[in-house]
Amino acid sequence: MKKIQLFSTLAFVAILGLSGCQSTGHKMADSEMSHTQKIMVQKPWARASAGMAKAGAAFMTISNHSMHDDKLIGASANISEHTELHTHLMDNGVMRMRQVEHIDIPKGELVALKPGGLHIMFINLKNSLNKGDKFPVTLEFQKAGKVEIQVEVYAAGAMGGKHSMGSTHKMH
Amino acid sequence: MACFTVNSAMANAGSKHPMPIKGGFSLVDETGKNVTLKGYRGQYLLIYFGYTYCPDICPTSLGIISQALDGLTKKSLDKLLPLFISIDPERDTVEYIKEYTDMFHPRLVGLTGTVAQASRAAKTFGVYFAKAEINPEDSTDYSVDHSSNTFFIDPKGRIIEIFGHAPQVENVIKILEQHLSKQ
Ligand SMILES: [Cu+2]
Repeated sequence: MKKIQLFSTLAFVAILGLSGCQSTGHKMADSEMSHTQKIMVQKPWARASAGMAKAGAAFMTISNHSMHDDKLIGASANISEHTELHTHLMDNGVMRMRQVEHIDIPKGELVALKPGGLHIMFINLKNSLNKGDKFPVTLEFQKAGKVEIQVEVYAAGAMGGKHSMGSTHKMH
Repeated sequence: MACFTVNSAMANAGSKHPMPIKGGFSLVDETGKNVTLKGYRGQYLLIYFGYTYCPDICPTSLGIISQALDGLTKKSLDKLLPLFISIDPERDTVEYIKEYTDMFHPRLVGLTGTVAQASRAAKTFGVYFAKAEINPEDSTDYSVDHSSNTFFIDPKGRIIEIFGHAPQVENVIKILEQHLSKQ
């Protein structure tokens, strides 16, 4: 358990350094950033796209450390023609992907955008997304304003965090 | 992640009573060869229906399938043919479906065909699909609502297990091995 915790702490610090967490309200000294962040975005990642596929999706966790409920109201990126907020509805075993107007980020809560659920959707990708690439996305929150994040591209079959914990070892 | 849902009456087939498949399919594989469900008799199949433009659901499923294949013994893997059947054959060409399936696992074989052929294949397995969110400015830009089940077929052409969307990899490996490791 210890190791896992340490891992997430390290990943978290790394993300901070990579601009995953941005000051959104007012100016503040670097040293106090982690205590005064209002909206934090952790581990943003996207799937590598297949050759001709013109759509891609990004996932992340967003936590709200402010005193107010907030909403993710939009996202923009220059890797695609359109960038939308989406979710999946599972209806009797059928997966239906639909655009949503906003994603609620209640105060004190952490909202996960993850495979099979909420995601940032890139429509009409200008170039394919290749494993290892990084690209910027600007998230727009109703109260916190704009937050720029760097999204890292994982393998096409990646599932996010679980992957890095070594669940895919061969058992031959 | 652990959500395990199975729809349709077939779900209750379970592993105790292999369920015969009514119907069949006739499609084109990723090398351009005509194939049929009947022609695959004699080997175990693992079938997933999806489309290559699918940004999340199919990659998630194929990612899990790939991890499960990697978790099998070599002997078991040799007995199993994993298939990805396109429910969007208008966009999924033979060349493209090969490139797509190879991204996930070298053993995974893509099948496509005409719209009628794909519809028949889906119907045979009770897989629902329908175009959705069609871009009014570009009719080739759409997503497809679809069932996200994975079917495990025995060498006699019967369904022995249906996995719902995003099953646990370990559970898939366990069930596949139960059958594949039998002599
Ligand atoms: Cu989407």
